[in-house]
Amino acid sequence: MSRFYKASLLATVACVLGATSAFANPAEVCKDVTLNMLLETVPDTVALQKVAPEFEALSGAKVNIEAVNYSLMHEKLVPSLTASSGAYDVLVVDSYWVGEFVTAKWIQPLDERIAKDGVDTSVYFPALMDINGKIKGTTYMLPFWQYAMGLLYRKDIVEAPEFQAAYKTEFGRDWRLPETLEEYAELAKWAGKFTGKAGAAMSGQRADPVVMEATNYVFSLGADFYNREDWVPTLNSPEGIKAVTVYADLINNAAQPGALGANFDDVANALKQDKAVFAITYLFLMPTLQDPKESLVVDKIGFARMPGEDSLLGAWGWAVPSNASNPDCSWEFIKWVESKDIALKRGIAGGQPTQTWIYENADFIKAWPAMAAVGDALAHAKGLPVMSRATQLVEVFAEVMGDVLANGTDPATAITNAEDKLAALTRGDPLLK
Amino acid sequence: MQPPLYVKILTHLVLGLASAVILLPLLWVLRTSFVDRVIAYKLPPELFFTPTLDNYRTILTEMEFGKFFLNSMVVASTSTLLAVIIGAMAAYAIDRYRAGGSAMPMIILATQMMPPIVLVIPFFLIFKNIGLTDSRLGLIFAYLAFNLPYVVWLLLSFMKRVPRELDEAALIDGCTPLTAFVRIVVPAMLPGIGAATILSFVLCWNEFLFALMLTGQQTKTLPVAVSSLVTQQGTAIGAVSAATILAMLPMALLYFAVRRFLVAGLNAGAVKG
Amino acid sequence: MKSATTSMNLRAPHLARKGDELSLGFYKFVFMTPTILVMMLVVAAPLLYSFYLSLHEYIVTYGQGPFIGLGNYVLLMGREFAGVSWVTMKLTVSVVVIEFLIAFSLALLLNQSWLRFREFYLVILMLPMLMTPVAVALMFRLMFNPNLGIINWLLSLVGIPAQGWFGDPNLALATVIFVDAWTETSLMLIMLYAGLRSLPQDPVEAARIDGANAWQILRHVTLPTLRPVILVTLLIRMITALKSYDLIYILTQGGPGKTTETISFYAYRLGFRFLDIGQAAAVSFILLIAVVALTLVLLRILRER
Repeated sequence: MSRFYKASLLATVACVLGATSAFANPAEVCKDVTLNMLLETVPDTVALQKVAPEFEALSGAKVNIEAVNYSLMHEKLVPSLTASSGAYDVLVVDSYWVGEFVTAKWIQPLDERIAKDGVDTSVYFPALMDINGKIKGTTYMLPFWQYAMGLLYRKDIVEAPEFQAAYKTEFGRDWRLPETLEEYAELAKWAGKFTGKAGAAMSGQRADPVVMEATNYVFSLGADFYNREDWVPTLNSPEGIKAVTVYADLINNAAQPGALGANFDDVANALKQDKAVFAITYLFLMPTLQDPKESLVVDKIGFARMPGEDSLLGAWGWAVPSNASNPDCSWEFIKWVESKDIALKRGIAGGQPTQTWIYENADFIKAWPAMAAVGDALAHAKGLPVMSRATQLVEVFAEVMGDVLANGTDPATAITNAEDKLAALTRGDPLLK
Repeated sequence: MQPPLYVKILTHLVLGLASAVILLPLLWVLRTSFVDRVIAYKLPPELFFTPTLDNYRTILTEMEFGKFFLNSMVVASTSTLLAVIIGAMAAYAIDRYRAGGSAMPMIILATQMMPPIVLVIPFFLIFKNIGLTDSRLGLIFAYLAFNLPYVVWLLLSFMKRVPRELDEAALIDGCTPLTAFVRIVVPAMLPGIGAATILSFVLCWNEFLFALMLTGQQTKTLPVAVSSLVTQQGTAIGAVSAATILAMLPMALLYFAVRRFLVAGLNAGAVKG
Repeated sequence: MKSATTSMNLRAPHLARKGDELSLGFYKFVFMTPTILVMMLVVAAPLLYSFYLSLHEYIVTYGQGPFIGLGNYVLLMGREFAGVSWVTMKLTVSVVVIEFLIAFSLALLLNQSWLRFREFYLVILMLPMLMTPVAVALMFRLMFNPNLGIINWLLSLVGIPAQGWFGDPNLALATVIFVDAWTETSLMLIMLYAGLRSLPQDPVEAARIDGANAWQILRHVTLPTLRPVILVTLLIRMITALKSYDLIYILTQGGPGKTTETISFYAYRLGFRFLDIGQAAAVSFILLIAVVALTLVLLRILRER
């Protein structure tokens, strides 16, 4: 009843205001509402917690942010989303949950709201809108964070004259950042021997760590898990097999010891403790690499886009869950949090903005100089396929990698063995029709 | 009776070694809780460093760990209290009156053999419907699901060794089963009750999955809070260590509280022959 | 010597003697009702619901599908399930046996009447159980970190080359077992120690006066009387070991490859990663049946000896 009342009130307000203001007043729909949301414990969440009181003052709503470990978010969200009334009013959705959430009808389409309130979605990087915005022509999310990946490298080491001289003797050319995956592999192996550190810090731990890293190798060589037109598995191609082979070669011959059990944290620590020269990983590690309380390599790390064709793009999007108790207010919050002013504030506080203009903002670039390279990285990046069972794709690819890395199975055989499983994941998927 | 000297030395050697295996990693945790991350990971380890209280400050002020301690404390102790009281009564009835038949103990235990992963989703849906999610009360009930069976079992094993003659004598003397239970049986199995209290408290205090699913920001318990210190962008190992150290304190208090029971021995129940 | 089976008499003679059958029923009711009630509400209901789910095709993303009988169970039978069962068996047997032997030896030593510093040892040996497994696992991940951990550094001092620990397919399971033993032995120790403390001292004294040596006393007096406590300790530990997944979750995620993937972690993956609730429930019921069978065997062996 009250929702109906509020909805009609909103409609009335919108009518009265008409063309003069496209924005409804948040106070009309949010008074005494509590907005529960689940976020990950990362700097951007802290930044959000700092600005949230502004929304509370503006709207009269209470913002209750629950922050947990990343891998626990999905576990907490799924039972809540299957319940008739959910525990959360605003969701942040990881890019490879998108298909699942849309298929299960857990999140609401936003097109009507976007049109009514005149929200401009062209401010976002198109690559982000593709994976965390519009799904099959319907907008479900506004991009929240970008998790671009690329090459982190030790500027101070590769720019040293003796390194560059030795590089020239070894490879017969002047120093340059690697342009292909093969070149990167040769460089990482050699740089490891030359410096006595690990050539590459790698994360071979099961599921997320190994998959998020190795997928960069796959995309770099132009391979993919599926043909994205007819959804036939395509990993069993010369490029796919080569990507897995190169990854295994680097784990064995260039990575830090025990890389097979390492996760993102271990990669970051290897870099921070001056134990590695290169890493293909998340750009969002930059702020912690720049923190003198944690890192020995402050100002010594550079960022470049992934060698070869593409890197893996991860992102998060804001969404309104279908079982939200007060979707109008949820939407008001999302509109507010993605408004220019607030988005910039969150970026300067260490977040990973998704709107293009922020990367040209002088204050932002001054705070995070390395972020200037993000535009280039995003232009050469693609996400995991948007499919209902993308989470499972991650598990299956992790099994392939585990088979190769731990059991020494030949990459071609391991991939062939997984083909049935890969094919089964797309079967009956409404998103792929 | 005093054993030969070499037996004594050997005994202390073994116990000392076991203690060292426990203590060394703990001291490492303690040290980590007082350093920042650069020093935490540095090898060879720096022996002389300026200790910092930053980690403690972070978790207590910025992350409100005090609240999570309190939640853990309330949930674990209430659930344990309920489990031990209810469980002792059930153990008494099962052992002395054969309540539920010979299959009863097995049935109770069999319920514990399910991986909690499967139970947690039905649990969540049921609790959501009756409004018990995001409340400490809900978690207290949920924990009864697995600490009660263990408590019953453990107490049964102790009950079996409280001689029947004891409470039978009391009954003949005119006690009701209830007073016989409270005055005779309970004191005779105090070590068992101590062990059951610790077992149940430890299970609740450390439980993770149900706490994760059934609590929210205001009601979450310590293990869930600790796990939040692991992020995609790094693990705050100093804060984890500080939280670990702080989390041990209430448990240590509990241990000293029930220690008396543990070492009480059967002689407290005045058993002779 | 009163054995565990004597209490299995079908009658409660003292009450029959009092002729008070009504009150017997009444007190049974009073004593048992709370437990039965709790078990019905928080144990039986979810258990039955998940059994129901195990008979359906249910991938959360697609919603609940049709009844497929034992389809989920049939689908599971294969190489993957055999693999995780084997790992589970290795892990469970190792931790239960290792932890029991350590805990029982330490409990016996601590129970010596002449022992000095007993309190000191007890407090220290109790500490690991005071720590949340999540935190313990994180600490050991740091200490066993091949690159930055203190353990490899200490080993390097005595000339042992760096090991991969959790990242080494041959060492990962052993390292997990070590961490498990470090954390879980205390709880076993305290239960066994409490058991020893509550033993009547008279038979021990009698045996000593009869000239029995320490080994004979242990074998013929202590062990038989302690049998119910040993049994329940082993059972509880076995069950918690079979169910636990939080250590694996943080230490290895079941890797490298599948070298540390247990049935519980597999059920977790099926349920929360593959969102296949039907199969996750089926795995759990297979585990349930296996554990009940194992328990019955264990009970029989230990009771009838």
